[in-house]
Amino acid sequence: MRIRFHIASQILEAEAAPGDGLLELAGRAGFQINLPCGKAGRCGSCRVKVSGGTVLEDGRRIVAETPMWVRSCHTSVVEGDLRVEVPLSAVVRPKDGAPVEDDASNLFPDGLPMTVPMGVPAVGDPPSFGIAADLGTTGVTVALLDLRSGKLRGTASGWNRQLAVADNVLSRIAYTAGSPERVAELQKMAVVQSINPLTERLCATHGVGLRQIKACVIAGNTVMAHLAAGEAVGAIGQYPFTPPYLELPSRTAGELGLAASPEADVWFCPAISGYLGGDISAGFLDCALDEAHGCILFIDAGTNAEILLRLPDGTIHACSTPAGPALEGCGLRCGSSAVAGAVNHLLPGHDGSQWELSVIGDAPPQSICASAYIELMAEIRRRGWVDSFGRLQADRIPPGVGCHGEAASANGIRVGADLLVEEADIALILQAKAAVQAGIAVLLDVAGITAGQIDEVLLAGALGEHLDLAAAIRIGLFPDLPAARYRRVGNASLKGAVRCLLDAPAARGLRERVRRVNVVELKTQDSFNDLYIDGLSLP
Amino acid sequence: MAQIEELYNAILKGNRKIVQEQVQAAVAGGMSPQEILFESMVPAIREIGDRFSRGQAFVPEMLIGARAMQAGVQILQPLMDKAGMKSLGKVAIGTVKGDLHDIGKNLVAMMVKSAGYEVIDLGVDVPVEKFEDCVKNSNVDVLMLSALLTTTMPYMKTVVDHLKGQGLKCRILIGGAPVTQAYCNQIGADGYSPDANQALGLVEGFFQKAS
Repeated sequence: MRIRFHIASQILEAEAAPGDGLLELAGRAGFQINLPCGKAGRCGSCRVKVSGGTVLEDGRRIVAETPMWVRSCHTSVVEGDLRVEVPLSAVVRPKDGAPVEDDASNLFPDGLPMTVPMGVPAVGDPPSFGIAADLGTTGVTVALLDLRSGKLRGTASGWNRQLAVADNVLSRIAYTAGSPERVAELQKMAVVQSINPLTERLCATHGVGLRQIKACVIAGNTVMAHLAAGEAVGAIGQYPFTPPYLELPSRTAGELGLAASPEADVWFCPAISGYLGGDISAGFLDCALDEAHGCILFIDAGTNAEILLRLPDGTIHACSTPAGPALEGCGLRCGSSAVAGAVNHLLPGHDGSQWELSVIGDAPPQSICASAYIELMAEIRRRGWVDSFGRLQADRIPPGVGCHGEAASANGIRVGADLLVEEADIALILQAKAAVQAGIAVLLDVAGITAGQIDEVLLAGALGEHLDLAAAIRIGLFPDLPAARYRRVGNASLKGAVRCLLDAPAARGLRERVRRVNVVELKTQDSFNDLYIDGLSLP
Repeated sequence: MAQIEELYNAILKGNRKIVQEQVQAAVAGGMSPQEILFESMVPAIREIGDRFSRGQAFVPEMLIGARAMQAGVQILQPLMDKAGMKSLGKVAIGTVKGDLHDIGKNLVAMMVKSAGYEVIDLGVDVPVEKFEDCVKNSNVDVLMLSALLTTTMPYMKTVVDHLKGQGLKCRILIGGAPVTQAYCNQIGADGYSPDANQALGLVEGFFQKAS
């Protein structure tokens, strides 16, 4: 039988046999369903509408003559050519399934210094190469480097296949609890299914043999790094969030199943604390935060936003604040990450009926990414379409734009034919914003300075790249400082990993350099809750 | 008995300053703390809770409204303590070990307290021994457990198993983002609520049945 998945205007198909699960079929059809609770059947985020066939949900037979909602994580097909309507909010589309090679030409505009690279070749050895990987919870990027010349050959991105288990680190921790087999399963997903295809793609493009890869560096948050190394992560899920290792011992590629010369060394960027991982220490190195001058605020805003504040005397305070997945476009009705087809700029035209929007990758608009939500919120607040609580004001919104949301009781704004922004989406962005805003405020408070004293704000990560800075400042996400004080540093985690690969002494000294970072646990700060609630409204 | 409309609306709008002014004015005008609380403030927070349950209000409004209410409760609390207000029953609440989240727990505690119950707040990161001590030594009728993380939720089972294993009679209610009715049934807790509003309903239901 044939299963047809309808996602907005797109139809994806898969051939099914009785007993096949909907998740598996979605994977076969080429997309991934959002699994915040790790297939526990609890959260309902993976709900889809089925019709025209018979399915089994938790052992209950459902003959769907008219469309019926089911949780895809607990549903398998029985018979009939099923039609499955998948809401955009249930789809994870970080990247397409296949690895994508990125334009790496602007990664290091100031060039890339090389001292003593890792896996340094002996005289007379054939040319050797190294890979640096940014292993994110959602996306993965690999860079291929020539270890003789220090030249960056290229980078490629894909998604972390652990998304098939759960979309966030906590649910992945819970999934592996007490089960070495499941740790091994996630280890394989990270290395063999996520990093290796990217390495293989880069090697094919650049004519490099896998056995020529003599050194690897992995930068990831503590959970991703531990899982890639095959280490248990249970302790990171509970206060005091102490990871088994701050410095994971090096492994060989052969031990981990990493596509490279089997004896190649695999080195993990050291963590600062349980929620300030190797990705952040890599960013620290890339921005040389300890060697910089003045007062610097570093922000990497994702599901967890990591914030570092460097003071003129060299003191560095840091925290990690739980923003939730909204800033990565997850959990929002029409949200997605910054992929082709995602609207990344969104403004209502002057009469309100026309939309000014731009779409990533010159594709028809299929989803909305976080930067566009932020831009929209700043603008509709200015126009009075939304109050400080984030509630839409139906009487202020021009006819034809305002509408009822999915819940019918709540209001929404229609963007084009298929896209909808609801009050529930605005609430989630407000919660994410409040977490970041409160994190910054606590660090400033601990340091005893005001936002105005910050000389430079460094924005790392994907959100930083597409964001309209003025809008982000207007909704209160970032401090109100002149645009000239902001600098977007891109994927600082990947860049730091590349630097480690090319500079083994710097890599080995990194643990010592980040040891001086003062980690502030926000939940133990009395002011945090109050600052968080302050941040929940729109200025 | 009368509702002070400005006070009711100030809680709905989350305006702490007006809530405090209104409460102070009402106290100065001779209104009893109970009347201020039960005629104007509790109905407002319940209205927000009802809207939340219907999908017509969201987390930000709920938290901002609760904080505004708390600002008023802080003025009334000492007055009610002094007057020796009769407690409708004794409730203990805490976030389980390994978890530091307390915004939701504080909201539930405030609503239960405002409804006239004595509430012992055990705080966050609470180990099973502390729950046990409290139930044994403080004569608690209802124990409420909170967990916000998928990774800390299993500790609720530890607490339920331990207390029930000792034959302690107190009712155990659970809540928090990852918790569900199915989980509640699975671990043998006595009740589950998806939000603060319904949590209060559970407590009230229990004490009504008990009396």
